[in-house]
Amino acid sequence: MTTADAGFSIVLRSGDPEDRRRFAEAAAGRAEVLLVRDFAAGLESAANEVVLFLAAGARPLPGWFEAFEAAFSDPDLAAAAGRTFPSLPPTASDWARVVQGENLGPFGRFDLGHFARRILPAERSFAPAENFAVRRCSALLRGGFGGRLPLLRRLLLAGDAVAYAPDATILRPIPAGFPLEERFAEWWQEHGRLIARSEEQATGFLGRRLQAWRAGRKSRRYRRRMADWPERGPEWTRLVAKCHLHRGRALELKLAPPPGSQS
Amino acid sequence: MSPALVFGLGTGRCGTTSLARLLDLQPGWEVFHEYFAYDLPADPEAARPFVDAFLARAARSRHEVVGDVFSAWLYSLDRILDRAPEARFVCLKRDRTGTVRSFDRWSGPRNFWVAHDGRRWQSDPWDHCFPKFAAVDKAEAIGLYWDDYYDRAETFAAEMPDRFRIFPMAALNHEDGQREITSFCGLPADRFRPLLRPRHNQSAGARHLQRP
Repeated sequence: MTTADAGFSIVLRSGDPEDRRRFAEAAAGRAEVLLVRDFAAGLESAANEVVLFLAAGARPLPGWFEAFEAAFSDPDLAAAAGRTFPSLPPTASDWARVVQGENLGPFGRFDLGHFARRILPAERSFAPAENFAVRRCSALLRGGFGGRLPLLRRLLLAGDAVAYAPDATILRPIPAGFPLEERFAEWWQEHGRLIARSEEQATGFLGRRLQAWRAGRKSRRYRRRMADWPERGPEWTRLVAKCHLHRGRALELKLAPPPGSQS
Repeated sequence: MSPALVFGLGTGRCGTTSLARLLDLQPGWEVFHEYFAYDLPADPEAARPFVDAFLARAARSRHEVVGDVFSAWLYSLDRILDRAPEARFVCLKRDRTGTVRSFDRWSGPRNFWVAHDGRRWQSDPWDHCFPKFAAVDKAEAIGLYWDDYYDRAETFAAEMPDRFRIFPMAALNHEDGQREITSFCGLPADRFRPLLRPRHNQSAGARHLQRP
């Protein structure tokens, strides 16, 4: 079988020949593999009907390509997305480990479990940044990568069929120097969780959040979560600690209690 | 002074989450559950950097005791003992039938215990955290894993009874059992804190097993 017959192109946002080798091996010669600077250029230059998009360094697990092949055996399917698991280096911080344990961190919002299914139009926030495949004609019809919204989101809004393909799994190695804390703090806050670093005074972003919390300016969502904890007490640092214990991981806090609180 | 080290072991589906919570509950103790998650492989050579990183992290801690609970530490035990000969190991044991049934259900479309190409079983990052066995079906593979795991554990327990001990899972269900576990790990009796609701991470109603 030739590459053109297979109908798949793998677009890697990477300049590393090792990435090309890895994905050529995963596709077992049934797809062309392109190294590009951005996904838009990859969509333009792909020769085949179905185009898979991945960022540099991704590592496909066995069965990754076959899962996309199986999904696109449905001629009505416009796009499909797999799962992405972050892989941290041994020296990653406690902070990063906690975030990883929390439903895979930022990647977890696009992880819909073990079973394949269609993405519902109401789930239009489903927009993984990599490890997804689109039918080229559908993508071009919806404006490619040029729009204000992510491509998958626009496909869903337009009513196109988008599948969740959990067997198409990649590992996403996170470099040791990646600024996890700053990036993930905001994300975690959005998910109703607060984090404070171990054995340090809260400063900057986290400090401001803690100050706001202490002053009672936390969101209603936070207050609801607080009420879920049966051992909540008047001392706010204790509440922060419970936030971690809720998920079975505790980071000891050495923050000064607010004036007038019971300690 | 460097903190003492405690490692919790067990095949999985045998109370390791509750064990981590019990140990972490003790004053001055910091014990994680699956600190490295699926990044820690069963292969001892590949796991070496993780062992070293965990011991380095523990050495920086200001806690009296630092530990982690995860099945795969068993395969790196030699390396841990090379670096930290005073470490204690608590291994939980559930009956074979219960473990197989629970793991079979919990793993859903995955099979961590056989080498596979992702066609019959779903590939998963946790795959490399378990040794592989030649078995026809998943339940048989889990059974072989259980046999192998406790063969190794019993060997270690016989070789170093003061540092490696196997406890039945039921020990977590009552205060005496919990006291025995924490006492083995070095906790003075007057500082013991009981874990009141020990049954965590049960498979019944697990979200990841619910079909859309």
